[in-house]
Amino acid sequence: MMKKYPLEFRVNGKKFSVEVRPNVTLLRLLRSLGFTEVKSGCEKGDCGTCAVLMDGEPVNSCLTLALQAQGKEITTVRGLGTMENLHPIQEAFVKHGAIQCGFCTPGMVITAKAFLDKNPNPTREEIREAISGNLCRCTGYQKIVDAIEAAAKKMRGAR
Amino acid sequence: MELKEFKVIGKRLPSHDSIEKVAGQTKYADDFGLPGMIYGKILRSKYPHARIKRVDTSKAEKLDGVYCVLTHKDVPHNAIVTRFGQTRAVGGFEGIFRVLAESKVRYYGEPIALVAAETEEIAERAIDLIEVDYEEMVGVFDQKEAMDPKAPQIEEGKSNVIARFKIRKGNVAKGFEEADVIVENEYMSQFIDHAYLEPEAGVAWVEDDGSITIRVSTQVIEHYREIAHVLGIPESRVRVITPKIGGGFGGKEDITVEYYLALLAWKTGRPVKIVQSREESLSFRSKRHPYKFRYKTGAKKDGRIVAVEAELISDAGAYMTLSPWVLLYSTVNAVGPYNIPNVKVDSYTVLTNHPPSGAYRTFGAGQACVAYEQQMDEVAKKLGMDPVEFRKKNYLRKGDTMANGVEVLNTVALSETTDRVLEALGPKPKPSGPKKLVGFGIASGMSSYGRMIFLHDTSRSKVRLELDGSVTIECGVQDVGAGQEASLCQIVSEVLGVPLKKIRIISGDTAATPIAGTTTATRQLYMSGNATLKAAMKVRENILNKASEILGADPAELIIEDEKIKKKDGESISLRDVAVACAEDGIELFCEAQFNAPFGEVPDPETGQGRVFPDFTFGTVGAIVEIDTETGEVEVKKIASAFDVGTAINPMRVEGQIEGGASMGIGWALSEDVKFEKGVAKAQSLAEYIVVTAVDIPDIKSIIVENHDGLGPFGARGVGEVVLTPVAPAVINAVADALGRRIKELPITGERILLAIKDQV
Amino acid sequence: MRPTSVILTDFDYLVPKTLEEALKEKRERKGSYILAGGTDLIPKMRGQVVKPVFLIDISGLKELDYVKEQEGRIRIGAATKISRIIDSKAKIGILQEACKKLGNPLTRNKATIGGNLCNASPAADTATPLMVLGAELVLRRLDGERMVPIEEFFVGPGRTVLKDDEILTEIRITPPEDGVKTKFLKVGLRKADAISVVNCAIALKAQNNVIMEAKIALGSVAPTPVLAKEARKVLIGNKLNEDLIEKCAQVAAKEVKPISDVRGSARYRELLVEGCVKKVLRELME
Repeated sequence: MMKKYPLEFRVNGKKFSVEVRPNVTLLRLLRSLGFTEVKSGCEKGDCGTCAVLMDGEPVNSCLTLALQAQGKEITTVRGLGTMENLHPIQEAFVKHGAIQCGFCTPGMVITAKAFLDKNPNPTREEIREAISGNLCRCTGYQKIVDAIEAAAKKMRGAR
Repeated sequence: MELKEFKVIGKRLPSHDSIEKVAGQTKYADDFGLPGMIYGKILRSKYPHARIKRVDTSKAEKLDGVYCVLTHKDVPHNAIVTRFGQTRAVGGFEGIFRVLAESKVRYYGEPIALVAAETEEIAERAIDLIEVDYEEMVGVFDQKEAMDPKAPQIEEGKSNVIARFKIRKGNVAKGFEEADVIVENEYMSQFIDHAYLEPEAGVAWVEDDGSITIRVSTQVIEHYREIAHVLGIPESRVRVITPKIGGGFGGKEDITVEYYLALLAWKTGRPVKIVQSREESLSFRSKRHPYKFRYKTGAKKDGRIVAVEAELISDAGAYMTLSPWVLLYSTVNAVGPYNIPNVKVDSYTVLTNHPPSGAYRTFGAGQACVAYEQQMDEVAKKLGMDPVEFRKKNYLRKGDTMANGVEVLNTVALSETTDRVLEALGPKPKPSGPKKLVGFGIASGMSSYGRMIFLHDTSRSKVRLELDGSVTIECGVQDVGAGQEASLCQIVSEVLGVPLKKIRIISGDTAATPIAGTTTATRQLYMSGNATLKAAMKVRENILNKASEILGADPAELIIEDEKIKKKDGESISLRDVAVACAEDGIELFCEAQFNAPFGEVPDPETGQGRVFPDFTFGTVGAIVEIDTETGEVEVKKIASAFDVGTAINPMRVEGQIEGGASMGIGWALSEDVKFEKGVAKAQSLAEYIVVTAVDIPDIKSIIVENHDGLGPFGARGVGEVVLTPVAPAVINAVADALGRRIKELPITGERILLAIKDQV
Repeated sequence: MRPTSVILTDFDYLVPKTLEEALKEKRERKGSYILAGGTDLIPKMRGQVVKPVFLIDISGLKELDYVKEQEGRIRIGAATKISRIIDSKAKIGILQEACKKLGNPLTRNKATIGGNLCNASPAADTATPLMVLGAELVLRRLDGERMVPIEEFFVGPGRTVLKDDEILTEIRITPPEDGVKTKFLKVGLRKADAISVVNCAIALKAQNNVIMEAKIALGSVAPTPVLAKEARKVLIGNKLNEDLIEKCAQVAAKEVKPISDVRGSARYRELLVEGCVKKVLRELME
C-alpha cells in the first residue's frame, strides 16, 4: 500500500493540511476537498476545464501532482468571487451570455483572470490566443471573447 | 397572447442560472456524492466481433475492497427490446439491446462486466483481474459491405439491414426525361463525436423504501421506465434526476451509464458513482451516423429542378437503438428546403461492428444537408448558374408541397436569410498572398422542431404563485445549457409580471416535476414552453379574476406589470395581496398544464407521403475560407449565419446557439474524425479528436430573422439543431470554390487538400 | 494497456533540495523518473505507458530554472518553463517562436524545455530550433558531466542518450551572429493546441544574398528530429531566390522518410516538408 505524504497548502486563502498518496493529481485532491468547481474533462491537459491558479499562474491541475502544491496558494473560481459578489470577469460572462452549459466556465474564467493580469488591454486576437487551451463546445467562443474584452475595459476603467 | 409590447420576451437577459455557473456553484453529475459511496467501472470488449467462450470473475471478486462483479447473468432482463417514443411505442422497428454482452461481443468496447469497489483505483484493478476468453470473428466495418447477405451477421439469423424508408413523389423517370441537365454524384459524412466537455457520469442509490434513485447527466429522465424494466421492478420505484448537463448534443439522449449505476446500487445497497474517462467517451460511446449518399438531380436550363433521386445508407453500429428514426429524418430532409415535383428516395440503415451510432444534433438532417447542398452547387455549376440564384429559383415557399407531400403552412424566409448572409459577408476578398486561394460558399438548410407526430408527444409544466408574489416553476425539462430552464422563466416572468430573480425553477426529476418530455428534437421551447405558457396563463386568469373583484373592473381592462395588477386609471393592487386573497378564498394559485403536439400516424411506407414533423426552421449560412496551397491549411475568414427563428425569446441565447452551431459545423467540415480502423477508434483523446479552439474560428455574424409564425410560445420556432445544419456544407462549398474542385471525403483536412492540390488525388 | 481514470502505479515521491541530491537519488534508485512539468509524464502514467518506482521531482529546483548569458553563450536551465523562455529577453528568437506554439497557454506554464527534449518525441517543438542554433546539452552525473551536441542527443522515438544515472541540466546556445536570420514554422491539425505534424527550423547566414551558412532542421518526419543535410548542400554558396527555394524544398522532401500515423500519412508529411521549407526560406529571403 502506497505511503502517504504530508501536504500543506492554501486554497482560496484557506489552509489545508492533508496526507496524500503521491499518485493523486491536484485536480483529484481539490475535488475530494469539495472544490468541485474544478472540473475533469479529459485529465490530459487537452481541454482546460481543470485550470486553477497556482501562485497566480494558470495551470492544468490534472497535470499537477497534489504534492506539487506543497506550500503553494491555489485559487479556483470560487476564490475570485461569490454569487453575491462576482469578480468583474464573472459579471461580464453573465452579462454577455458567455455561459451555456457552464462546464468550461470555471477554467475559462481562471485563464482570463491570469491573462488580464498580465495583459490588461488585449486585442480580440490576443484574447483568442490566451484561451486557446480552454475548449468550449457550446458557445463558439464568441461571447466569451466579448465578455473578456468588456471585463478588460471595465477593469482598466476602475484602475 | 394579446400583449403587444413585451417586457421580458425578446430581451437580451442573462440566463437565471449563469450566476451560479460562473461562481462555480453548479453541481454537475460528478460533483455530487453520498456517505458510503463506492465506485463503478466497466469491463469492455477487446474485440469488435468475437464469441465469448468464458468469463471468470473470481479473481476480481476476491480483491480487497471489491463489493461485487456483475455479468449478464446478474441482470434480470438483460436483452430488451428498444422502444422508441417514451409514451407511444411505434411498432415495426423493434431492435434488441443488451445491457451486458452475453454470448458474443459486437463492438470494440461493448460492456461485458461491471465492478463496484471502495475506490476507483481498486475498481480499475479489479477490471484487469476479470478473465475473458474470446474467439475472434470476422467483422464488418462498412455499411455497404454489411448489406451484402454474405457479410458477417451482427444479429445471427437476421439481416444487417434493420430499417428502410422510401419517398415517392410524382414520377422521377418522367422528370429526368424533361431535364436539360442531369448531375449524379456520391457524397459521404463521417463518424463524429459529441465531445461535450462533461463526460458521462452519475450516482445511484437505494432509498429508504428500497426504490432506486439515479442522479445522472441525461437528456431523457424518462429512461426510468427502461431501467425499471431491466431490474424487473415497477416503474414507480425508479426515480431519475438530472442536474445541469455539461453538454448533450444528443450524446446523452440514449442511456449512458444509468443501467450500470442502477444494477450496482441495487446489488450492493450502497450509493455508487460512475464517471467515464474521456478515452471511454471518445472510443466507445455513440457517434453521429456516418452516411453514404448517391444523388441524381435533373434540372431545366432556367434553373428549375425537375427531379431528384437519392439513395442514403447509414452505419447503425452494433445495435439498432435510434437508427431507424435518424434514417427517417434524413429521408424526409433528403432533398432539402426546395420545391421539387418529382422525388424518389430510398434509404437504409445497416448494422456493423462499430459502437451503436446515436442521436447527434440535427439527427440525420445535417448529414442530408451535407449531401443536398453540395449537390445544389454541382448542379448550379453544370447549368452555369450562380449558386445563389439557382437556390432562389427552387426555394420552398408557403403553400408549396415538400417531398413527403406535406404543405408548407407558414413563412419560409430562405431568400431573406440568404440575402442577409450575402450582405454580412460582403464581396469575396482577394487572397492574402500569392500561394493562397480564397473560396466563398453558401448553404441553405432546414431542420424540424418538435418530435415525429406519430409519437403523440406531450409536455407538462406546473406554475405556482407563492403567497409573497414569487413564483415556483416545476417542469421536467432537462437543461443542457441552451436555455431549457431559462426560457420557461422568461415566459412566466412576462405572463405574471414577476421579475426573473423572484422566479425559481425546479427541473428534471421524475418524482418531483411533471414530465415535460425529452430534451431532443429541438422540442423543449415548443413543447414545455407552450405547456408553461398555458399553465402561467391559467394562473394569470385566476389572479385577474380576483383582482377584478377587488378593484371593481373588467378583467380584460387590467394589466399585470412590475408585480402589480393595474387599472387604466392607475389604481392598483400588489400581486402579493391578490395571491393572499386567492388563497383565503380557496382559489388555485397554481396550474399544471399539458401541451399536446399535433398527433399523426406513421406515413405510408411505400410512398413516404404524410406529415412527420410539426414544423421546420429554415436558414442559410455563408463562409469565406482561405487555403494555404503549400501546407493545405484552411482558415475560415468569415462566417455569417441567418435563421428565421419565428420569435426570439432571448436574442442573446439565440445568437449563442448560432455561434455554437457554427463552431461545431466548422469542425464537422474540416477537422473532426473519430478515425475508426477495423472497428477501433484511433482518436482516443482530445489531442487526436480535433475540435475547434478559439483561434480556429473567426467572429461569427449571427443574423436573427423573425416572422413570428412559429408554433412555439409567442410565435417562436426551435433553433437548437438547425443552427448547425447548413454550416458544414457552407464551409465545404467554400473550399470547393477555392480549389476549383470538390473534395468529397470528410473531414476536409489539410492532408486531403494538400494531396488534392499536389498529387491530384 | 488501457488508460485508467486514476494513476494506478505505486511510486515513492522524492523532492531533492539540491541538484546534487537529485543526482544521488537518480543514481541510487532503480526505476526512477524525473518529474518536471509533468505534461507528458502524468498522462503517460495514467495511460500505463510509464510505471515509475520512484519519482524525483525537480520542478522546484531553482538551480535548474534560469535563462542567463555567460561568456557569450546563452544558458538555459533544463527545468525552465516554456512560458519563462517566451518572456525572456535573451537573443533566442527562433526558440521563442517554437515555445509560443508548444502545447497551449496553460500547458506552457508547466512544461519545461528539458522535459520536451527528454520526452524525445520526434515532434518536439524545441528540438528543431535548438538544432539550427547548434545547441549543446549538459548531461550531469553525480561524479561529472558530459556535453552532447543536440544532433546526437536523440536516438529514437522517446529515446535519448541519457544514461540511468544522468540528468539533463542545461542547454547551451551560442546566440546567432549578426546577419544570421532564423525562423520556425509548425503545422498541426489546427492552429493552436496541436502536436506538430511537421515542424521546420531554419537558420541562414547570407552575404550579398549568397548563402554562406545554413542549417535546416525538421521534426516529426523521422524517428528523431533531423537535420536536412542534402537540402542544406543545395543552399550553400548559392543566391537565395525562388528557384533555389523550390529546389531546396524538393530535396528536403525527398531526404526524409516519415511514417503514417494518427495525425497524417507519410506522403502528407513529405508534402508538408516541401511546403514548410519553401515558406520559411521565402520569409527569410525578405
